[in-house]
Amino acid sequence: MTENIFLIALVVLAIVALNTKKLRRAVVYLGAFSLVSSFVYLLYGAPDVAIAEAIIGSTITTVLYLVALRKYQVFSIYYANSANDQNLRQLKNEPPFLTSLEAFLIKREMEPQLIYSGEPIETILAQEKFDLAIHHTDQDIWIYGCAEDYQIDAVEEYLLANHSDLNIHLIRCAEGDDNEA
Amino acid sequence: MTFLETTLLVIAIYITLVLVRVILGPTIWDRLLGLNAISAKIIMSIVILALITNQSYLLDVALVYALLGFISTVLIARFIEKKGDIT
Repeated sequence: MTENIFLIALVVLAIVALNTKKLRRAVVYLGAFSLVSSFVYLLYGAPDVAIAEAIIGSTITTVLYLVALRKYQVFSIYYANSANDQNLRQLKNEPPFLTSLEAFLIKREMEPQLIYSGEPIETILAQEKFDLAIHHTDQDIWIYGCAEDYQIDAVEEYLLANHSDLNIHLIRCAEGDDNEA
Repeated sequence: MTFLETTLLVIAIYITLVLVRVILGPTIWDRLLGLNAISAKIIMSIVILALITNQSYLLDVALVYALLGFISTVLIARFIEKKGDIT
């Protein structure tokens, strides 16, 4: 009976850790998974394996995953343009603020990936996995980001300092929304 | 079913209840607190298992867990609070 509860908890945690969309949550789920799995090792009479799991599983892998999460580099930017002005609309050369934003991201050791999208901004926000979504209208530039993304603060500071003439608004999505990366 | 086995069963049920909070929890802090609670309950159940099977070396595992278990919690909390800067 007790054994079954722990085994079911193990399977549930493994499935949840695979299915979650945020990497930070997956780290927490994997910590709980390794805790429960080491207790299951004890139930089946393998205390030495349980000690190894306790040391490696719950300490070293957590540190490794957090360091890897910090170095996670690809930064995807969706760009949607709904301006009526034809000059702004043509996409032959990208707007200068995007070029400098990309240069800024490369300087911070990230790899910007710019995606021009013809779809309306609502579809992008609802369906795509993005780090930044930029909506360019006639006068304003709306930038959507995720509040828990650690790079957003730096990006906002940079844009406000260098492109204060562009009417930039930054909107942060709330935490717990599963749509963002 | 002896008293100790019943206690182990009750702790297992508690772990499943905390697991619901870890999986559903609206913010990352709820998940982290749930992880900490699961860690405490696992240590308790290891001690009770050592009592049931009468093997004192299981207590060593509980000791290692009590010493190392907080490190992952502290590191994840620091990672979130300092916005990705763990030093």
